[in-house]
Amino acid sequence: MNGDRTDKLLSEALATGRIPADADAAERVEVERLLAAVPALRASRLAAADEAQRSLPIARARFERHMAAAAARAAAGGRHRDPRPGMLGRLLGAGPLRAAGALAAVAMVVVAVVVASRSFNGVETANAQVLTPGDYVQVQGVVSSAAGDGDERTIELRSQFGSLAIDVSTATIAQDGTPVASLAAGDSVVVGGTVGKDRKVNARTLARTAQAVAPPLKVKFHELRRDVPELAGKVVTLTLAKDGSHGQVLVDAGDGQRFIVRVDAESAGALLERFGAALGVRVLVVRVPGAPAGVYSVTVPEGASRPPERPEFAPLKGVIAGREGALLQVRTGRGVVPVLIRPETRIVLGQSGLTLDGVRRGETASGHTVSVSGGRDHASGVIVADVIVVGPKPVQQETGGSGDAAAGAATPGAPVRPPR
Amino acid sequence: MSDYEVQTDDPAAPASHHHEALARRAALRDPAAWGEIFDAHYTVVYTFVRYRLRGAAEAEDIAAQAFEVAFGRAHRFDYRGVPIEGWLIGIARNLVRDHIKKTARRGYHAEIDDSNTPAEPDAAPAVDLHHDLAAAMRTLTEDQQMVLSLRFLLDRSVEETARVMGRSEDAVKNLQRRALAAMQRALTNAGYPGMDTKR
Repeated sequence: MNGDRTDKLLSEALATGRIPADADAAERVEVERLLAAVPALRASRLAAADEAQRSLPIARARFERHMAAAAARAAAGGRHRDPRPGMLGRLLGAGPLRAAGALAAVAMVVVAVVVASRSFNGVETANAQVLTPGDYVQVQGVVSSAAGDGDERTIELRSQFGSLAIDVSTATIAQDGTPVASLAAGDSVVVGGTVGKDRKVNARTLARTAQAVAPPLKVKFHELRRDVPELAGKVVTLTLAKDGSHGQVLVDAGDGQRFIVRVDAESAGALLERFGAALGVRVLVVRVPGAPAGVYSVTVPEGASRPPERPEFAPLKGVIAGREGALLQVRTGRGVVPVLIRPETRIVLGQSGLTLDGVRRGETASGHTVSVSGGRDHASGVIVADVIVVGPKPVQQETGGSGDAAAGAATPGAPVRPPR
Repeated sequence: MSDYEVQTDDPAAPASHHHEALARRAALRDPAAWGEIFDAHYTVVYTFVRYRLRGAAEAEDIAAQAFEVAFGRAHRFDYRGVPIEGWLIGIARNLVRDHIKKTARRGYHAEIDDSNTPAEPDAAPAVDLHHDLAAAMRTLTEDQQMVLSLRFLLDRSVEETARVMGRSEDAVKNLQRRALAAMQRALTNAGYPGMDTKR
């Protein structure tokens, strides 16, 4: 069959939607065969365009950061770089005098890749294995889409786990007081919440961050192998089990290596006690003699501090003065601050010497130090607790009597029990 | 006369003015101009690369890179030659080519990648189409992939496709025929419904 003739018939069929009347039977069959794939191609155009629209806010935020970084380099006297991928391309474009140095750099990169692969410390795992329904989780990400009306919305968050569905509502405490209904694609947020049955996160506390840290496009992390003695890095995500028995931290060890590590509740609680929102904190994860296999402790090296760009999840530290219903009274340097305990509030007993059984039996936590991570309800001024870490009783002051006496209207000695 | 010269009786004159002004601002790396370019062309670039790559995450990465590369080369862009979209598609094509070569050198490796999972609850039909089409595309030559992407995924005319590909219109029609034939065979082999036409 003549190719030019077929091209002509095909072009006309594509333009008009009909096979030309002057096509003979064989030509008609041929053109029909060529047209068979067109509906699938056109359907995929719509599907791809839809995908593109959903990814556009994230991609745009990335491009804006790129432009800002380029402008900063230019202002500092640098030149605009052509961000071509691949070192080889840059090597081949270099002049001969720089080639030797570039070759050495390539060699170093090759060595680094080999070393990195040999120092592989874990096995790949999937985000679904990390988030367990009932867990408390702190995670940061960029909003890629928001669905729903008013204050009841579901946002899709591009996070270190890939895409996470996050339910926000009027029960979500926004740190800056702005309504969660105003959340839009491109917003960078830190979320503290509870993982639901379908691994959707029910956001309890939310804070917007100025810096839109782009989560990786390819989400890849490893479960730390049990024979690895320690690991240093930054906390990317933290979870606490529903029963408060343990936690997990996702640690960025640098060089693109991320590890999920099971940690004991005590050290996880201590981390929250110190920092409120633990994300971005530099930590050292160590094996503890006598601890169950695969369970580590997360410690904070001397001098570590919370990165300034990370929000504080309304951390509050003080001494438990008493309890009125679901309100815990915490005595701080500024006076007594009410803290609301919700059913999903995690209570970590840490170094308190208390046990959950004991607390349930009525053992009092009054007089114990406490650290609260949560959000401030701007309407009432009450701190709404996501996590409470109860510590030991402080050493009694020589001049002070019982801490309860200074608690004002609080009920001294009331045991701390989460509402059922 | 080039696309960007103004004619007094040219109904597209205001659009030409805008494109010219936008291109000039883009050459100066004006962020607002580039934001406008991004919003106008991201979907096109993404769609162009989507089925030549393994998933949505790669497509997003390459599409974003195309704008980053273009931004870096902004001072070299001659708006009197190729329209901005054609320029971006050219950059994207090269990025895809480099990416495929790099991936082929590394070999296939399993990664935890949720990017092919759409957000909608009943994803099965969409995932099948993405998967089948991407797999079929990978059996085609680069030129065949490009002509199908431009003609059917981006709905470009034969003339526009010829300009972007640097070929004659007859050559594009010829390539289109071969590409559709190859795509029909690939989808038939994959068991995609409706492909098996009798001769």
